Amino acid sequence: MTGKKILLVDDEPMIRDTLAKHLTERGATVEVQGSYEDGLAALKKEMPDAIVLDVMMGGRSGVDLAKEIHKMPPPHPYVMILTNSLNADYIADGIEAGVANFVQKAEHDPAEIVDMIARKLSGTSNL
Amino acid sequence: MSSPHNHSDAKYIIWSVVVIIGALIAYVGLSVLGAKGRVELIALTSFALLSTTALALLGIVFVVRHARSKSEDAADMRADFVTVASHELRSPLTAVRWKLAELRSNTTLSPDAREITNDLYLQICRLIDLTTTFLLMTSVDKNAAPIKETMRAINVVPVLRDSIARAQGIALPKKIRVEIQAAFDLPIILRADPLRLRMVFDNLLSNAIKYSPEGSTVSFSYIDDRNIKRFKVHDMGIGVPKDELKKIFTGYHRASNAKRSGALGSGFGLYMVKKIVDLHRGTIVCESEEGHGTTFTVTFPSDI
Repeated sequence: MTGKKILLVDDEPMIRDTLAKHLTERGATVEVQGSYEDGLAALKKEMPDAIVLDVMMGGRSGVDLAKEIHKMPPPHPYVMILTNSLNADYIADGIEAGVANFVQKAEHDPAEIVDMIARKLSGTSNL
Repeated sequence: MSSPHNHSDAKYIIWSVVVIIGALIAYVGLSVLGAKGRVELIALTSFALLSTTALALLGIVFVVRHARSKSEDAADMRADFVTVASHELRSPLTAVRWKLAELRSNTTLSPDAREITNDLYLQICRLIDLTTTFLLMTSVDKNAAPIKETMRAINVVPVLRDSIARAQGIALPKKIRVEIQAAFDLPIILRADPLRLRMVFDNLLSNAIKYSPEGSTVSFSYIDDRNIKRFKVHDMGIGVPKDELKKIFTGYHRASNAKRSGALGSGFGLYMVKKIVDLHRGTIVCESEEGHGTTFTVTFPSDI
């Protein structure tokens, strides 16, 4: 993932720090933000190659942030939503907003999530 | 809501909240100890968390049993409970899993510490699987209003792509190829609850991978058969013994050879899958021969 820019937006420090460590080890340039507002400001400054968003961030939703990205002119980055919620409400909205993958945090090791992002960015997965 | 129900609902909710807070306290303890890198203490705290969460699961079972016998008010309460509990229970479990995953890759651990870490990691994965299954089971009851509210006509192609991408991730370490025999260029429209429908394909694909030998192929196929949408998941794995085929969707049952394989599983996955397929007015059939693989065929009506 050398040369790829990835933005992580999650209000849980453990989640974003662990993923950031793995992504950095794989050569990516990583920016971490802890809220919807800071995430939005960061991507307005520079559009990354991939964005990883938590679905619930202190009352604001990662899906809302995906919608903001979707409104911006293409090309759009790869968007992954991370969640621990088993409520389905956000999925249909997320798909409409261009979210490519919805990942249940509890069901994957961080290395598996990073592999998924790497496959997508290297073009070895078109899913 | 009527007052007698209010009173006992409150009791169950308070009880569940208490155990969830217990789990969170254990999580905080784990984070602090984890920061100090004390493997033995992490192990002890993880055990504390495992037992506390097991208690929380018991709480869920009580709430579900209680709620199932009641009115639509209970269905609303159950939906709220699943939403809150899924996040509150699974977040600390995620933290433990991720920290143990990091610890497992630490090459400086002694053989004993590595064995303990591996055991804990497998147990926490099992607990996550059980927690997810129990929580989802509360919302796939035939009369559950919440799931019906989330069902709408959707294009399921993105859901399938996402599920297959996840499966490919799980298949990678076993060098299993996940083959797609379907053109996803046209939308596949179903009246569905996207998350629950994904659970169906996640379960079928992860089972196929779990019980398949290294280097084999798992295939996913789709056929639009006019009035019916037909999905198949096929593997070349251990199969299901003929006399146990009828029991696989009943819950509380794992095939004898699945248990012997050493793969983790609760026996609830296919029970949940069947419930979700029923809710979508679909059918699910399992064809299998022990030692020669398994094919699950899921069909859904085309009318939305």
